Amino acid sequence: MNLNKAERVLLEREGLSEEEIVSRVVTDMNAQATFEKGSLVLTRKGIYAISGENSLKASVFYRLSDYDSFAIDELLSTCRFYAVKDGERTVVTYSTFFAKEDLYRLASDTVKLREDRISEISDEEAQRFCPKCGRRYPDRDRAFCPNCMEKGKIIKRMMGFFSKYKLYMLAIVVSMLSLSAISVIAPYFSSQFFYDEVLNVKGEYYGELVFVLVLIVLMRIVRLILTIIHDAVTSLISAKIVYDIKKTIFAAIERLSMGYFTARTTGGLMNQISHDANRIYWFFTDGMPYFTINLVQLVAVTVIMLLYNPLLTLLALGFTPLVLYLIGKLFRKSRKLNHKRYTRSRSMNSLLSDLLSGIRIVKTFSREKSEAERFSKSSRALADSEMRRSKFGSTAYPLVNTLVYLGTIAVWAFGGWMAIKGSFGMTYGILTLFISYVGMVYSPLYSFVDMVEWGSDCLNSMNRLFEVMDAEADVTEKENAISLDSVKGDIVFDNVEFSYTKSRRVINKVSFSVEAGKTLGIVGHTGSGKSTLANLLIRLYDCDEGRITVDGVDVRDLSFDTLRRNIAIVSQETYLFVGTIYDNIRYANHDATREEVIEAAKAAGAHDFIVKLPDAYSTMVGFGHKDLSGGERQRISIARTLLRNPKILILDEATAAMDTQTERRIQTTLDSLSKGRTTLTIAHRLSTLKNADSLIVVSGGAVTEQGTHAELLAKKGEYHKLYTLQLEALKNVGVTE
Amino acid sequence: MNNTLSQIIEILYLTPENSVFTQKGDFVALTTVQNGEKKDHGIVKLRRLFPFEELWNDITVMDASGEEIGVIASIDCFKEMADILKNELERVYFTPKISKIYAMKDKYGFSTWDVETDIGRVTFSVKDTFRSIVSLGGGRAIITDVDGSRYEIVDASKLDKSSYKKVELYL
Repeated sequence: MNLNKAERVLLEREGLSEEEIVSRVVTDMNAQATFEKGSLVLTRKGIYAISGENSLKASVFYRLSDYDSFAIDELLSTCRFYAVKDGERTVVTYSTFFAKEDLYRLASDTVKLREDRISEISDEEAQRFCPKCGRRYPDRDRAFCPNCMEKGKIIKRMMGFFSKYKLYMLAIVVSMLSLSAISVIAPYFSSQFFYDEVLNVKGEYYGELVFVLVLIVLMRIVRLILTIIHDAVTSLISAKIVYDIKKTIFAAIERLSMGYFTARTTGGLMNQISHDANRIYWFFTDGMPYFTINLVQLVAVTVIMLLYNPLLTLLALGFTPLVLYLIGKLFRKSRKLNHKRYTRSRSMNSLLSDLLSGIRIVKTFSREKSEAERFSKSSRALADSEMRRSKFGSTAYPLVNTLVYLGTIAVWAFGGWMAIKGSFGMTYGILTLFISYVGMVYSPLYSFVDMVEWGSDCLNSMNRLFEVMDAEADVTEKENAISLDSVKGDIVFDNVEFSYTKSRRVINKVSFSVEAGKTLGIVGHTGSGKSTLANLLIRLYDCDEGRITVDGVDVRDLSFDTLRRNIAIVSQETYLFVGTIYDNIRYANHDATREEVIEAAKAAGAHDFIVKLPDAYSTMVGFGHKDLSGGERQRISIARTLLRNPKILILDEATAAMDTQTERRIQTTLDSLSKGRTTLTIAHRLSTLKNADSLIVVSGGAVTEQGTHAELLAKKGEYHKLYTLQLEALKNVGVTE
Repeated sequence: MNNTLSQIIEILYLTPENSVFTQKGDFVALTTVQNGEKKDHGIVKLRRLFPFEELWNDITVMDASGEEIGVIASIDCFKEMADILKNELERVYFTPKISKIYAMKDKYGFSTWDVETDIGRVTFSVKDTFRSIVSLGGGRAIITDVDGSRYEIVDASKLDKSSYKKVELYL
């Protein structure tokens, strides 16, 4: 354990050894609710609440045997960890949400200690601080420290993506270097050499006009050829590299478990795949080469200028620091104005989309006028910021450009004076050469300043990309996972516990079993944990405690292929991919024949509505295409599952989105399909579960009742209550059982 | 229409006549009397129904499991008990108030803030500055850090010049 000084002092004072610490939590507030670094140290006897980090300021001991339990109360920005004794609560410490999860873990550790389950306490301390600089990681889920990020390593790793295209990259670099060499040499021939050597009587090549013209034209041609090569190669590999990066990110993301996706938004992931890939690409193929070339050019030009005339060079470049400073300021202000414009445009767009999507409601409540005013206000705000931005752009930039021009003026003035006087070896040719070179020094300065921001953005993208690639999936296939050709279908849940986040246990010690070929109905209120049971069986998540077995084998020991081939789920979420209805049904089994697809659609009650569509099975569905109703989508999704012909079938509210009549029709099919397969049916409408071999009632994540329909009705418990309530409701709308 | 609704929906309004709130350490306990029947609810949770608009009115009171017991229309009518309720609400809605910004550095998608607050100096990180800083007008802003803890700038124009310059862009 990585103990701090205060903790070590405490251990010494209490005569404890490090091994006696069961777990610890670093906190950032004290019991008086003010910011103070400290920690809670759990030993077998109790919790030491320590104030201080580098020195022990104070400590309070909470003996486990003196209290009934420890718990957390989440407030708005803080949480309080408290001890409970006979209903009375004593605050042990306050903390910001920084330590929230750890405090939940500590509370659960105290329970495990009391129940003598010490072996279940993980000694793996959550790594929250950078081992290098000691600062806390900004993101709790990432061991990433922005201060200690090894840029070199990341860039080197990134270059791996480009290594496949070594020859192309080499061609780009060579063409760019040659181009910059020509850029540096060309002014020499068109200015100094031309005026001093060809036009001047004393020149070595006096009168050789044709020679110099041929030279200049040749250089133009070489330059043109190099530019064509460079542009062609760049566009050739650009698409390939973006494709590679996107493919890698997508493969990395797809490999991760469901837990990763529930913690992130779809928008964020989409952004990551497309935005990051493009940003990385542009930085490497546009930003970096441009920067390198300009830098090489700048150094070469400066050296040449210094060799010709050091005094004039210093004079010409004297403005550089001032220009850099001004450009820096200009960019900062520009960024502020751009950000403002961006936020206003975003808020106007979201208002617009909100109003258009809700236009029916706007009209229903006759709010057209007030909404028009709201929109006009937002639009005006955007116009204002747009105006300010362009005003700044059109005044500030020309001003700085004029300042840059001062450098050239200085060269004209002093260079001209030197040429007239004939001092410092200044000639008319050298002067014109200097003037061309000064422009080459100042023009890339803008991009140099911009590069800092660009580089940091790109590094961030690269870092995110590697993090996804390095992230470990929570649910993984065992190395020697057992593969079964077909399973019988015996299912056992044995004391299963699970929680999505530490703060809330979703499944609590659930045990039940289903014999192969039998049907189990799972009943319960919304949010009671029914669907989670299904997710655990197909291993979208792994349970925290207990085990789930299929044919006596722990699902964690089975291969993914065995699980997914033998267990299929029809869930409440019916997602259709962009494609034809036929493709969507066949998604489950690409080898299925047309006849099999049609049979499955018929069994799922989808065939009838499909044939009524103008394009029947070839109808394009999914985002941007034919919009099907919830019930229709669900029937396609059932057909998809049936095509898989699984041994274990999970129906998670499979018929929830259908009208009662359609539901009954499909229910009959589903009932007959259930024969010979183990079926778990989760349903709100209890009438659909009457024929199940057995039923369990789930409430608050635990199984509260178990038995057949008749047994549970006779019991007059929760099931009876739910059943009679629904029966009444159905009678009221004219439907009888 | 309102009459009909209130006939259907029953809300128990907690008043000094039917409820007694008591201080239990850093927590608040409630006992109610309804139709002559006394009920001890133990430690209760208080939450504002309109946290930005109403500080001491429209407060919901829940039991430990989160089930609503009733609503307090106005805390002030509780007279001597009002302080107990106000103190608890201040504890629940406590948000450190930033008085000075020592540093705010943007690096690789995170900005790290080093600030002085009314309860001491603290460092926290913010992801996606534009979404995590909500400007509420009048210079007031709420900043939510990566862990979900909130910090408040009561009036940005009252910050010192160097602090103001650091947040100006987001307000």
